[in-house]
Amino acid sequence: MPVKLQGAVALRKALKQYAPDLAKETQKEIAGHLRKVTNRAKGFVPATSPLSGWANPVGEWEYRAFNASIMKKGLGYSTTPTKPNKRGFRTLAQIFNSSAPGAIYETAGRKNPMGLPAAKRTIAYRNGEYVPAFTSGRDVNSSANPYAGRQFLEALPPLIDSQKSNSPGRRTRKTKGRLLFRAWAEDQGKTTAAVVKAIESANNRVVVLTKGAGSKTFRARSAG
Amino acid sequence: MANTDLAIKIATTLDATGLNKADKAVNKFNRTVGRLGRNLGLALGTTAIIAYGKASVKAFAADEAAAKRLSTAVDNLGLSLSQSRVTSFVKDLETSSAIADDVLRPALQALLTTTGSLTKSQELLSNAIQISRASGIDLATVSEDLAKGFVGVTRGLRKYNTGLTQAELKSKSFNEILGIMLARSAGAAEEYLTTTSYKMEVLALAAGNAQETIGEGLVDALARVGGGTEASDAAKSIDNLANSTSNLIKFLGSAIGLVNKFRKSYTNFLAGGDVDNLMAGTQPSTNRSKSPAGTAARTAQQRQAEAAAAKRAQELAALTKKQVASSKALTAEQKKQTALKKAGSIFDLEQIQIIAALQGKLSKEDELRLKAQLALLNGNEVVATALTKQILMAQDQTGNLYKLFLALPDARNPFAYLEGYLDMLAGKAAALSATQMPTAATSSQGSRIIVGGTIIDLPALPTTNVQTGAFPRSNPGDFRRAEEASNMSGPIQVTVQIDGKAVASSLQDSSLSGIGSSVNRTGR
Repeated sequence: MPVKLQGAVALRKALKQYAPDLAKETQKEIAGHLRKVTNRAKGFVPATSPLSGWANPVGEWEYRAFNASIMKKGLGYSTTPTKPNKRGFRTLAQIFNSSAPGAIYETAGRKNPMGLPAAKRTIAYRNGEYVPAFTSGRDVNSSANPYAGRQFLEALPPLIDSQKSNSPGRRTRKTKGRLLFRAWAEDQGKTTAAVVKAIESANNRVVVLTKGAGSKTFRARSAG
Repeated sequence: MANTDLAIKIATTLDATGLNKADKAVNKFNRTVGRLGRNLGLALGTTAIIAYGKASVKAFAADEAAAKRLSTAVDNLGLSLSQSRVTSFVKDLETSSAIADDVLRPALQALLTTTGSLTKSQELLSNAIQISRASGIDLATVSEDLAKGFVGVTRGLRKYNTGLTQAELKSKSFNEILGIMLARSAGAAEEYLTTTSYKMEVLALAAGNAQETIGEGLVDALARVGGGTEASDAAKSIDNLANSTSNLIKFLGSAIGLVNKFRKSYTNFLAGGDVDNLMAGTQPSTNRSKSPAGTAARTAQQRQAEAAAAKRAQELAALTKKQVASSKALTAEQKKQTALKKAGSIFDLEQIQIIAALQGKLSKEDELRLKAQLALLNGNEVVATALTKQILMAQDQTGNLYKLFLALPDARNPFAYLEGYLDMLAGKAAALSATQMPTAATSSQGSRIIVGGTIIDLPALPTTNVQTGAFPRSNPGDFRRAEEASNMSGPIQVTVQIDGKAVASSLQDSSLSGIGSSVNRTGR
């Protein structure tokens, strides 16, 4: 769960106004902490496809096929605050996995640990007559191999949960992964603490620079 | 960064700037809406006042036009001197019945045009109001139906549930039907005066009249603003002002308050005199002469119109009576013809049926019965009696039934009295022949008869070249003898001419006409 900061926007404005260099320095400091996590995540990307067929960029799989370089490029970080969401919250720092094959490798098996169920035989009405057919859609495995999903998952490393049992916030399938979430789990909150500390340090320095003109309103707290 | 949900958010912060902006925007919007509502209310109020002003002008114009139409109709009927009476009648009726004058005027006009009599029209309009109150049908329709009924078209009176059939409506006079309608709707008009609906109508009527009065004032004032004197100029002025002036409400508010002042000063400026005096000088004429001679002329005119109307009504009544009589005669004749036709067809049918039945296979007894019935129908008494005997004997071999039939007493003869009368006539004829029977003597010169002792010479019969006995008699032997005699004395030539031509020539001419039926008729 992200750490909620109060007054971060005001701090950012103050930094830009009174200590532009400090602002840049703070951004760099935060980026340095995040880069460590993403580099660790990139280290979990395998050199070759776990199943040879996934590496074939054919048809609709042209942009989803396994490609290690694309997967590594997709792992990144950002220290630029985002636009407020509909509830008014802005993200100050984040790490992400943005490539298609990287997302597949990260999340495969989250929803169906044994793979998608195989398509079932059914009867469809086509061209004026009833013919035998198979069920289709996103919820079934349309491969001729009914065990394709399970075999694919068996070839991948296990999912790692970034949330520990004593971590604040809910533990859901959306906190599990093989690249980013694995690296975040292994980080054990050190990056979060370093980022918050960097921001707090910048705030303190702004207060010093402005000789107490601005109150020390910055406060970090973990979301409950 | 890439837009993805597959991310770990490390630090977030609440940025309420956007929310505050949204909040401010909403508040501002609310204030704007409030102002808009107030502005709209003001605008709508202005629009309503303008609309009321327009409606007032239109109402006044319509009322004025209806009054002029009625006035023209009265003039055309030769009752121009009764204009004031018509006006006062409409006004009084409007007050008493709470029916707007713009409804009463067309109704009265329709009745006036049809009847031609002011008195009759006023009476019929009062009747129409009563019938309208009772039936719930609007006054215009009732008046129109009564006007049509007055001239004999009573078809429209069916809807008033008079209880009369269509034939009765046609055969009865208008006054009879009107009497029935009035009897059925008696008291309806008086009872209506006690209802809430009547009170509401009184209020609506007052509002309508007020609107017309305001409209009159507006027309008078605004027409002058528009540079004219007609209602159309006033309406144009209102439109122009409404479109060009954003604060028309102020204008109307002040205009209504200052209209009398404005009119007075403007008229004073134009005429150079006091407006009240000018207005008093332009009072509409009542057509009432102050002199006794004027009253006499008006009364004479009215009497003349009444007489013409009465004459026309009499003619209509006579025509209706004649039509009814001819209709009845025609109906009776048709009934008679129908009865005769039916009787004839039945008789013929009976004979036809009997003859047809005799063609088929029948038992002997049935055949006898049918033959007896046919003989009775044809009046052949002898055959009928014989056949009846056969039938009765066939039914009872002992002959008792036939004896009983013979023993039945005769039916009473309805013409028995004629027997004595005929005997008396026969006796007188016998006595006359015994005393005055003329004796005749025939000679080649002529005939001579003696009647009652007087000798009368009859002229000689014309002679022919046909020998005596040449014409056939009833006896074939005579015919043969005549023919032999003719042969002895030469053939008898008889020439028949058509239009001066012999038959053969005439037929030949006809064959030349090319008509198929006439070709080769001479056999040559």
